Amino acid sequence: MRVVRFVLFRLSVALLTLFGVSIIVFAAIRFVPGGFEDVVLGPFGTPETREAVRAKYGLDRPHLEQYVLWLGATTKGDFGTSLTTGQPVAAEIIRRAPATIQLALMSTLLAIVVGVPLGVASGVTSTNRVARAAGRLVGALGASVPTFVLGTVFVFVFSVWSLGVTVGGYVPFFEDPLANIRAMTLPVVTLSVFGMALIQRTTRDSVLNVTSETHITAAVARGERPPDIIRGHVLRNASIPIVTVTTVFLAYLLGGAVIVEQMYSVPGIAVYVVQSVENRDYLVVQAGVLLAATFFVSINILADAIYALIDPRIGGQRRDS
Amino acid sequence: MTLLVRGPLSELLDFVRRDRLSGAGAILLATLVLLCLFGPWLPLGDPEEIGIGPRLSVPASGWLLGTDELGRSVLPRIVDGLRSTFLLAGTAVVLTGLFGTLIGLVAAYAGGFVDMTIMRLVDILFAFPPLLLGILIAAALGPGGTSAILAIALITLPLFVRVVRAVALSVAARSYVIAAEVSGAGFLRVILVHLLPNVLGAVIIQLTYALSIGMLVESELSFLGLGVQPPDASLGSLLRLGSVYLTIAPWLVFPAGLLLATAILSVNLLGDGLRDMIDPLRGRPLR
Amino acid sequence: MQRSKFFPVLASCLAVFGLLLVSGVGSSAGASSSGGTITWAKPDEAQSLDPHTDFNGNTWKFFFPVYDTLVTTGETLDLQPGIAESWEQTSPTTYVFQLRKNAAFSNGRPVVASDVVGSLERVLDPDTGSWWANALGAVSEIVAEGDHVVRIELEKPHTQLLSALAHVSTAIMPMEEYAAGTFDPTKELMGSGPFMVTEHLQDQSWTYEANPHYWGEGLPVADELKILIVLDEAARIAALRDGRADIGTFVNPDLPALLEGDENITVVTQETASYYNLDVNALSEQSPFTDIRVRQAMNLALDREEISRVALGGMGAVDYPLPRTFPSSKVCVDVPSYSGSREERLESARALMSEAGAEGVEIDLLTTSALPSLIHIAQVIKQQLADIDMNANILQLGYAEWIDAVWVRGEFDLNVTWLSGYGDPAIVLGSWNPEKTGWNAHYLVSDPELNDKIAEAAETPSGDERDALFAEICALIDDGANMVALVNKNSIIAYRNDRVEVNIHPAEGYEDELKYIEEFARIAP
Repeated sequence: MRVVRFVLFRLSVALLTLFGVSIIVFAAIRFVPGGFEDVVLGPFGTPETREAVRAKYGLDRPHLEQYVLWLGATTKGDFGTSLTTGQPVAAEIIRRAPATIQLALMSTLLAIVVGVPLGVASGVTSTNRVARAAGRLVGALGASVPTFVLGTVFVFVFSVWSLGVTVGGYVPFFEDPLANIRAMTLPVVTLSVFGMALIQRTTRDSVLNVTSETHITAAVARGERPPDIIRGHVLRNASIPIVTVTTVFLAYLLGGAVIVEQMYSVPGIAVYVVQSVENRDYLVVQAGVLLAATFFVSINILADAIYALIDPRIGGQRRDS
Repeated sequence: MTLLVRGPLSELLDFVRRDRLSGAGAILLATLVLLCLFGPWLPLGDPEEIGIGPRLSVPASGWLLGTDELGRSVLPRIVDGLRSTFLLAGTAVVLTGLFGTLIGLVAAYAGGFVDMTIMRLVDILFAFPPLLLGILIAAALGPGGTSAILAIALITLPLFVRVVRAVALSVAARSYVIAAEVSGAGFLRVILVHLLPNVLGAVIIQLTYALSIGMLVESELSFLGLGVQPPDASLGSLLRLGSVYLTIAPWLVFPAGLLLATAILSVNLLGDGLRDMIDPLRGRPLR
Repeated sequence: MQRSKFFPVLASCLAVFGLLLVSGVGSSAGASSSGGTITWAKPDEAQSLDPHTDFNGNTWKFFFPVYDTLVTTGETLDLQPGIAESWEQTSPTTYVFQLRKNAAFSNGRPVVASDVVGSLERVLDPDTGSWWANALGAVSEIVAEGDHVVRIELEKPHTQLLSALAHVSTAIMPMEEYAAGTFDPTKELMGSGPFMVTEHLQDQSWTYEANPHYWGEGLPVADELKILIVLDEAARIAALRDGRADIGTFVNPDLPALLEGDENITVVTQETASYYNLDVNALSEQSPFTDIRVRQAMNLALDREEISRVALGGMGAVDYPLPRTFPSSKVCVDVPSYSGSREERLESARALMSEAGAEGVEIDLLTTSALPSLIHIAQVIKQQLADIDMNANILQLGYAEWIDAVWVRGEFDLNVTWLSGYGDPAIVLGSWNPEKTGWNAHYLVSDPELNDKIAEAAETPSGDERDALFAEICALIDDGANMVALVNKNSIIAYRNDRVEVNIHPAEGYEDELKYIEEFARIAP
């Protein structure tokens, strides 16, 4: 019963959040100076032609009416039509989704696969002063290099020496897997370094915390082998913060993807939504932001579910911070 | 809360001694801030003078880090850029700190409907894609420092409020707060006298994180062309313009990138140290 | 503590990545051959699909391979046959065009006179809202005489008519299908040009296939043309380097330096009739430029040579209201803001500033991020204006905000932008009559004397008489300092000389950088 109530509560809060986001993005994109009609008509528009364009696309209707119509359609899964291309927004987004999803999945995977072992390594070696400092430095460094700085370095290095990967040149995975991987390697690595650092830092802290707890001391006292202790006790207990920080990283991906997609010409959703702000393609921006917010809210709920799975004692208790 | 009891200087010395890495971060940060403060008086050259040397020239005596695509000396521009980055991110984080603390405390102490409303608004802000928020603000208010500050403040605010509220909640139920209430202390008095000192530690830790995130966001916005307007420089905007000339004039990019990473690193190292000090139970090694 | 357990995990992760990085791009030069795909990487996506209404030079580039015009321009802006095989001016106001008999749209239907008449009428129809209608002058009628002859009657002579008809804004569309509702020019492209669009992935790519009904003998040489939209310049360069693109177009003047050492890549600078210019707001009450002395001082303080040298790295020379690409521009060389030394001009400028009491004035200098070179020009101008104690605040806006600020609300003092020159000097000079153009009426003072001279030049046939009028027009424009020409805007084209054989013409007026794209051939490996 408690679980059901908890789930219902979380879902209603999530819906409320999305509702709020929908209002903000709708208002914001219409509040900015320069409308779709200005993009279409440019310097040669007149008050009459601008009004004609607005009327043609229904942009002259009262804002509340437009909002209600849009929200109503959106709840039924209809995101409307792109003003720029005349194609359904959903189709435009779906076409770009594979690149962004691949980018996000591979980056997260790489961040975990590198970050967790690094974190455990720097946690368990931290009785040594030098190793302790090195572990901290690596984590802090990774979290300090902005995505675009890293990207610029990669572009420089790999423009001079190709080394098998390409700068740009995205090809869909199912068209040519090899070319796809070659084009996606740099974007993925660029994007995941921040996540590696984040996960390394958190894993290291958790390992340090957990290893100071009594049941570990007891396990050491019992003479269990260190690898078993790490697998059986440490990682198990460190997994909750790791899940937390992974959700933080996934949220960060939404922003990082804009820069990485742009730098490496990956035709993804992030760069499309940003481009649509420039084009005043309102419905695309609205759909894109709402989608990003849905993603954000969902991973947070998912994270809570994972907490409950890992540690049933938590069940329903949200971990703040 | 030893930080508040002992003298700040001895505390700082102690801190540097105990935690060399964070001490190094603190010293690095102080050096960079001083560099920014006194940059205009250092004999570095004019950051905005066009045609001081040939275009895209390699480093030479008149321009120690080379020149950019308009023949400006890169060195003073980088110092200028670091100042912009610190100033914008710093101002924004001060705003976040003030409002975030206040909002967090009010939410925690008032509870009920007020808390619910505040936290749902914070949720909404949290769920809004951060970079897009910055882009929309820059489009609405025009690109420039004010937009960047507002964007950074709004992006760093939600986490701040959540942390402050969480810490304050654990304090609000303690007996001395209840005692103060019983003795007739007002809403504001309870918040400022009883709650605020107890969340300060968390606020300080959170401020350093917010500063490092703020600097990342500022540089990203500038990299997208939405920060300070040319000829003013920010490290992000320098990288944006320089990256075009990467292969023929790497001096436009690498010093600026290195400086930016170093500055953020110094803030992060300091933040880690402060956290270990204020919250000493965390991060203790296995003995 | 044992750590050996964790490093193998890390190592194997890296190994997986390493395995995926298999290299192997290679090609060697050979003879050119027909067929194959030509790939062109360009920075901007199309803004609309209707050539009759689109005003954006970046968008026209997507139209050129598809649409033909009645006439076109050749290698040096000289008029050449298009859909019209030949033409004749039978009176000062009558033009007769003989159409090609073998031209056909990509659906196979032959191009006939009624398509030409219908297309031009659509351009002239006020409901279409074509920004180009004005350039065609006062057309009294367009008549089809049989299937292959078109006659255009004007109310008065209009020397630039043929040049105006060479613009893709007068593209010949399949009007029969348009009337039947099976072709919608705002949603699709269908013309009689060498290629036809088969796929368009927004922000990603355009794919064109050879039009099997194209009139050019053995053309196009390639089977397929692919346009890749690559926003980022470094990525476009990378695409050229690793062979994903055969041709790339750029605005960065340092491209030759950036590509130095790449023997396989040739960089060509194409002169254009377009130039960067400065719009000066003489009509807004907030603008200090309502005072003509302040405008003139500003104009005198500009150092166009420095703008060219510093902002454009020497690529793009000093330009005049009458574009330097046209021989007639020689009559504009000696107007006051171009002659004398900079010191002398600064002295006159400072005198004007103090006369106007405008020393220390603050102005807003707007520009857009839509074209990267604009911000460089703006910064050089800011420094130059500081020499006469004029402090410019630069604002680089996104495209939509810029349109709104400059063209809708008119809230600016100075605006850095560019003008296209096209094939006849009178076309761009027509911009100085705000009553005709309309789009600059909110910041450009209407000068009756200048308007008359512009109208007179439009009716005067090319020659000395017209050049004399141009000289007077240039002097008036310089004196008014209300729209100021700065420096020439060139196109920079880079191509893989080991992969494609190209023909890039030296001068262009209509943004058609790759005019002879139907002749481009793949070099067989």
